[in-house]
Amino acid sequence: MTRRWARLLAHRPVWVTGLLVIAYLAFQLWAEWAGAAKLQAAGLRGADRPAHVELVLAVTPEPFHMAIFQDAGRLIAVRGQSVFLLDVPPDALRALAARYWVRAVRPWAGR
Amino acid sequence: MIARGLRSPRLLESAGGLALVLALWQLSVPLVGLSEYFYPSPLRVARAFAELIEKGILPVYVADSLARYAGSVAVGTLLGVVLGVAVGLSRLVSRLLAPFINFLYAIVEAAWIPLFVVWWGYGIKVIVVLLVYIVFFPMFYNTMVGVRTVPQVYVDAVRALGARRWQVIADVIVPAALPNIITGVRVGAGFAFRGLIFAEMLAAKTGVGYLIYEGVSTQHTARTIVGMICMGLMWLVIDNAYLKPFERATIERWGVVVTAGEKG
Repeated sequence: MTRRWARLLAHRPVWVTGLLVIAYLAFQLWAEWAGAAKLQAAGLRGADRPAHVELVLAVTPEPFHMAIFQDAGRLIAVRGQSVFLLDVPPDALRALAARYWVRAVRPWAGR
Repeated sequence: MIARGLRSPRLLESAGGLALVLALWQLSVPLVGLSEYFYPSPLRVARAFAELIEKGILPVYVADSLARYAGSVAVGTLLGVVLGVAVGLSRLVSRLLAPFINFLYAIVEAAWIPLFVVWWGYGIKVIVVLLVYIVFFPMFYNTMVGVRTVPQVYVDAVRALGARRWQVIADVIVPAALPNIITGVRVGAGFAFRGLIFAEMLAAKTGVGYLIYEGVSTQHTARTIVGMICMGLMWLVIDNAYLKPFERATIERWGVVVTAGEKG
């Protein structure tokens, strides 16, 4: 069995794909874990209703980021590196928090 | 294995060549004396590269491009092989389809773009259909030629042993045509990669091709160069990690390679 694995791993496409898959999964796991920690800190972990949130970004947002925010909820305002969103569904909020360029998530009263 | 790769003199030589090009580029910037918009330095490009990663843009664009590419190459390859085998094996199918496929081959992929845009608008469908179209023809023709040049004696020998038609196709014809099919994959994958960048420039809002195009239109020329470098790196990985080993293994497996000392 071990010899068979060793023979399989001797093929470059196999080990390159393996490395890529491992790197991708490790990154996804880390992103999920970091996202959950951000939501926990905001008291939004386990939310089951759409929430109004302020996202504090690590970068200045560009059209690329705006498109993501508009897909997630209603984009109300951008002030510096903070973005204000209304009605973000729980799944979209988890996905947003998992982005590494989102530094923090804060609950927002709205308007 | 990875450590062995890192110690290889060829890799070191390639890295040396790259370092030399970068040094000459950096030195030429003050001599040329143009603004960063016209002629960004390698340091500016490196900063743009880091910024695109920090902003989460580059990983998404690279992943989107690779997903579109891999999916399209897989579908185009499958279609090309299936139709290539069918046309190669059957005179009737050949008479029915070959003239039409030959006619389509003459219509370059760029000519389809306006029509695809009318049908599906700007977006992923146009890119995928265009890439499948690009991959299909080299796959189809190489497979067809491979199937037609299988020596009849192989087929007769297996049939004499009682093999059924499907067994002949699966165990004799397709393996014998494999070197041609692999050549088709390499040619098609190469064309498709160029097509991907071109299609993304025209019909996408993400992807490396879009980055190249958007960089110039937003006066971020360094980002355009980052996109071009990513394009080169992606192709190097695809070719060295997948296409070349796949081709080598297949050709060696099916005995086409003549190694030194065997000849004569």
